[in-house]
Parts: sequence; C-alpha cells; structure tokens
Amino acid sequence: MRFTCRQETLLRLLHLGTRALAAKTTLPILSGLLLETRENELYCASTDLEIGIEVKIPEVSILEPGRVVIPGKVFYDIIRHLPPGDLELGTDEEKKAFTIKGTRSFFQLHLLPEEEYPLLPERIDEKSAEDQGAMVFHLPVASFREAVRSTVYATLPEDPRPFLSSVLAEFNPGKLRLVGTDINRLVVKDISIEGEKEFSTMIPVNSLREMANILAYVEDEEFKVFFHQKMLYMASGDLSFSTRLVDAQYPKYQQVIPEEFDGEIRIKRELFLQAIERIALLDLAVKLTLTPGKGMEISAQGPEVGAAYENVDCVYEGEEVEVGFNSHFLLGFLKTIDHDEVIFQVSAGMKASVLKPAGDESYTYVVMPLRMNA
Amino acid sequence: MRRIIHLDMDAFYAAVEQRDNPAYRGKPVIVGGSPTARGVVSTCSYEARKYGVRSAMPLREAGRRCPHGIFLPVRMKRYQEVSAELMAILHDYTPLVEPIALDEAFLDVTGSEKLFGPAEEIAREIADRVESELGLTASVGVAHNKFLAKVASDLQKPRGFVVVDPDKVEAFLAPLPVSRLWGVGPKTLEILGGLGIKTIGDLQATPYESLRGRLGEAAAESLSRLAFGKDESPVVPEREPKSIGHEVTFDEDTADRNFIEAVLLELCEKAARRLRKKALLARGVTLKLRDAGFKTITRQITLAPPTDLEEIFFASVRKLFAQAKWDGRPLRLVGVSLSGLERKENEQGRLFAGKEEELRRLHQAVDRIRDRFGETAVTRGRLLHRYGRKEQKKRKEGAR
Repeated sequence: MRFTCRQETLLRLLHLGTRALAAKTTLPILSGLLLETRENELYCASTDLEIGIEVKIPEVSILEPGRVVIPGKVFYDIIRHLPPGDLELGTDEEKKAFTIKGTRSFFQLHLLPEEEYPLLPERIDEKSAEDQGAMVFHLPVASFREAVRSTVYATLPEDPRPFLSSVLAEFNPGKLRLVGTDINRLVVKDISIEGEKEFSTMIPVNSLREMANILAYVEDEEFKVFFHQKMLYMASGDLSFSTRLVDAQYPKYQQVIPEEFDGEIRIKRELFLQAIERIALLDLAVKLTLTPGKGMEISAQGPEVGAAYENVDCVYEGEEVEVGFNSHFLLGFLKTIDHDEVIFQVSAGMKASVLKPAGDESYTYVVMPLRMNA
Repeated sequence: MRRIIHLDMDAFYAAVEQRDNPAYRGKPVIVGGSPTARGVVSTCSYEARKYGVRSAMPLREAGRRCPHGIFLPVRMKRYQEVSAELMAILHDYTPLVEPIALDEAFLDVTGSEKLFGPAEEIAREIADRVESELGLTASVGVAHNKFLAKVASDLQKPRGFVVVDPDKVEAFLAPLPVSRLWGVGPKTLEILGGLGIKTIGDLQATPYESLRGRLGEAAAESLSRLAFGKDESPVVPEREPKSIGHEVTFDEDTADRNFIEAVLLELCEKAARRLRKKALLARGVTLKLRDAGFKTITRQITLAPPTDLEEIFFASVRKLFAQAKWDGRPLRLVGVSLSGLERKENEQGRLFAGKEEELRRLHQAVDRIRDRFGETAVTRGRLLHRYGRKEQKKRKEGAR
C-alpha cells in the first residue's frame, strides 16, 4: 500500500478513526490501526471489540492499494507532531515496514500481523439493513447528543451490573426515551423522533458516550442507526460506528417513579444550585427542612468543621418535611438542565423524590434520600 | 485556657476484688493468677506493694516476695462492668471523655465549668462519687492540658488530688524525673543521661540545639515542649474499637468440617450483630485456626465495600478456610475477627433493592426480635444442627 495526502486532512480524520483503539488489552493486535483501500478510497478503522469505528480519509491519492495494521497510538502521535504539508505513506518494498515521509522527516514503523485483525462488522446501508430484518431509525443529531449528555452522568459505566453500566433506549412512535440509573437515582429523558416503530434495547454507557462524541463531528442534522443481532450500527456520511448491545433485562423503572409526594417546591434553578453549593462546603450530606408558608431551609453539619444554614426563597406547598440528600445528586440534575425554574416533589422518610424542569415533561430525575445517621 | 482532668483509679483490679470480697480488704491482693503460674502480676493492692510486689512482675517472683499474698485470677468481665459504671459517672460532667484504659480517662471540662463550677470542684466531686458510689478510690489531676493533668494525677497516689497552677508549671515539673515525659523510653533516657539530664528541670536548662543534635528534630521539639508543660493534644472522646472478634476453644478437639463451619457461622453472626449494635461496618475479616499441637494459622481478607452482614463475612471466612489448606487435623480453636472498622455513615437510599438490601431488611427484623426476646429467640437452621450434634453424640454414646 502506498498513498499521498495532506497532514491536516489525515490528522482530522485520525482523530476520529483512532477513538476505538484499545488502551489496555491482552490482544496486541487491538492496539493497531487498520488502513485499507477499497475502490480507490482509503479507510481507517479501530476497534476494542466493544466498539468499532471506521472513517474514510478524503483527498488521498492512492499509488498502490493494500491493507496494513500499524501501531495506532504512535502513528497518530507522529501525524499530530508533523507540520502541515504533503505526506507520502506506505509499506516499503519488502512490505516489512510502514514509512511516513514528510518534507524533512522520515519514520519507519513495524507492521502488526494484518491477518490477525478482527473482522469489522460490515458497513451496511439502510436498504440492506432492512432486508436483513434490522430496525432502522433516523435520529436528530443535536437532540440525541443532548439526551445522551443528560442521561449518562447518572449511571455507573464501570459497574458489573448491566443495568447500571448501560442506558435503556426505548423507541416508540414519535419518541425516543433514554433511561439511566446508578441505583440511587434515575433519569428519564424523552426526545421527539420521526417514525412509528417500537423497539427497546440496552446500550453500554461508554459506547453511548463515544457515539455522542463522534456525532459532534457530523455536519448533517440527522443520522441513521440500525439495530441488528445484538449490535448497533451508526452511519453518517463517511463515518461508521458500531457497538455491542447489552443482552440483559432492564428493571421495571416505571415502578420506582413515585406518583405521590408530601410536598412540592417551585424554585429558581440558579438560586437552588448556588445555595446547595454553599451549604455543601461543610458536608456532602445536606438536609432540607420544608415548612408550608415558610419555604425551605438547607443545612449541613460537618463533624469536624461546623454547621451551615440557609433560607432559600421558594414556593412550597405540602406538609412539613425534613429530608436529607447527597448534595452531589441534587447538583447533578441542577447543572445538567438550563431551565429557569425547577419543580421538586419531595417526601419524608426513605421515599424517592422527583426533580423536573418547570414546564418541561421531557426530563424526569428521580432521587433517593440520604438517611442522616450522624 | 482548657481545663483538663485526668482520673486514674488506684490499684483498680485489686481494689475491685477487695470491694467484692470483704475478706480481702487490708490484705495484700495480687491479681494475675496463681504464684506457681507462668504469668505476670496484672495489678496488686497497696498492701502488696509494701512487699515489693509490682505490676508486670512474674507471679513466681511475687510469690517469693509475698508468700502470704492473696493471688487471684484476672476477672476481666467484672472489671469491664465496673469500668462502664465509672465512665458513666464521668459522662455526667462532659461528653468529652477519653478513656485510656478501663481505669483511666481524660475529661475536657472547659465547657462544663459554667454548669458544674470550676474544674477543681468537678474533679473533687468525681473523686467523691467514685468513692461513695463505686466503693473505690481514684487519683485525679487537674491542669490546662492532658500531659500536665496526667503527671498531676500520678503524683500523690493513692487518693491523689493535684491541681497544676498554670503560672508555676516550670517549677512544678522541674524536680520530676525526665522519664515522666511522654516519649521517654529506656533509649532516650540513656541519651539524656549521657547529657547529664536527669530531671525535667535539667532538660529545661538544656539548650534546644544540643538536644536536637542528639535526638533529632522531632523528638527534641516534642521533649522541650513537654518539659515546659506545653501540650495541645485534644481530648478525643470514646475511641472506636479496632476490631471485633470471637473465638471458641472446643471442649474436645474436632476434625468435623461441618461442625467447624457451623461454629464459624455462629462466630460471624455474633460479630456481625455486635457490629450492627455499634453502627459500624468492617472492611477486614480474619480467620484463626489452631490445631491440637498449638500450631496457629491466620488468614485475612479485605472486603470492598465494607459491610455488617454475617452472610458476607461467612462467605469470606469459608474462602479463607479453603486458602488455609487445613489438612484435616483436629482443631482446638477457631476464631473470626472483623477489623478495619468504620462508622456507618449516612445511608443512601436505593431505587432498586438488591440481594444485600433484602438481607439488610431481614437482619433489621431479626435483630429487633433478638433485642426483645433474647439471642436464641431466632436461630439459623444450620446452627440448630450444631446444637443438635451434642444431643446426637450423647445418644450414640448411650447406645454403645
């Protein structure tokens, strides 16, 4: 294989193409980047067996077709450190090494055994996907990324329990719902989509995050996803992405969303956020004391530091309630949305509470309280 | 300025024995065991001290010095009971009570003076109550820090009562031997002796630089501070126990694996229950096995996250038992101890109850039943079998 291209172009695409390189792996081949020519186009791909990414590198002149696997990270670092300009890359005559020639620099990299590279899922187009019985959806890039962002922070990506390290994706007519939980809290986020199909699956949190990151580079307003045989495929322009899906049962999350509460607070988001941040300086555990007609007092006791109290302006309707929370869990919600006002439905005892942006039913945040033993 | 009281009971174990048994009163009582035993003297009464008997002296030596002494075994449980009564009295005056031993504690009464009067009066009242309510005597020291209070309580034992005047600290300390200073062991004593320093007064007169040359920065700094009666260390209330454990010596050595496992389960259960009572969690589990030849094996494991559930402890103990590679020889003793204890923090609620959640609920219920109806009100099936074994054995023997 041999080709010429511009450093700037190559770098931009490698930034995407190397994202699935396995950092820590027992399989050395997975630290390699696959470069492959197909029909006079150059593709670059990486996979850690969980996710796979392939991008087409544009503006390339292919001098000699071929397929190689080279040390991914070093290659990317070399391209990153080269100045903008023309490059000639390819295997040497004995096909024993991969060379990179800049105007003044010359690099020679060892090749990895190309025949050991795992098979990447084939690129499929919408038609063949549907022919094979895959579920195909068209999703809006911006609101999907937003939905991922407002879901994944409430999960535990490294937890061995599948329902904590993945996000439930429920497709319904006109609506995609993402559900995430870290067992202490649960988020439910709805976005509008086109299409009438119903489908539900679990996507690993890390894959979903990566998918949202990659979508940042997509210029189209929409992208396509196919679900086929426990895999998710995403395609947009010259980029394709795939991830393994989680084959497990998601808990009946609707059952933990409470419908009755002891009281309801309506409060300015900024005000609430800043008050909690102040009080939580003393201790992560904050206590909310709610009195009808009086509003809310937030307090914390730091065993070694002292105590803090703050009265917060809000409208409170309901019974007298005293309830503790991990401030981190309240802040998580308050920092994720950008609405002016929030609704906080609370209950005393060890019952779940619900936070919502005022006037927006598309986002629900369920959080369990903290029993204050201290 | 802080107001600290140090209270030290006079010949505590021996005094408890003399109180419990009037026949011992006024006589040399030596607690530790029989004068022919291998152990050492734990405590002895002031009467015994006249014969040169001291704590930590071999019992045989004590027997020689005081042949007519009353030698008694250590009844730790009894002393613990009395100690609990003592600590309860101390807590009447301040929550800032730092027990150092069963018979010794520091009190920070700085904030209590408004309620109970000056520290000297509180100290007097405590000493009086110890005598009238417990029938024991104590020595007390009152000062503005822990170090001075402790030195003071030791100065006029028994029934000592010494108040350190904050303006005369140097003169108060000067005549005392340097060995009274915290951190002065035999080695430091030798170095100081080499410098001609015998009393705290000598130390006060020694330039800091020459101390630092011989002892190093940290030790020199700490000694010269103490020599002038300076000590900022706080009174730390009630230290957490470092570990909770139980062991059992079998009536007869046994190689019955089933029986041994049942005993281990019982030990885990006991330890876990104590843990829950104290609202603690444990991170470390240690298994101890001792065979008939007194060969002892211990194995330890660290749990993440810490817990207070015996099911998890027992699972670890079984794992450790496998790791210990027990060769099937009869065992004399088994023990389980839980370490790495930490206070149960605020409890975060969970949306989805897992298996652990269910176990926790089960234990809450079982603990409540036991609190009300006694420890044997509810028992595991597996432990019924353990109790049943003795019965079975008896029956077998009867048949023979």
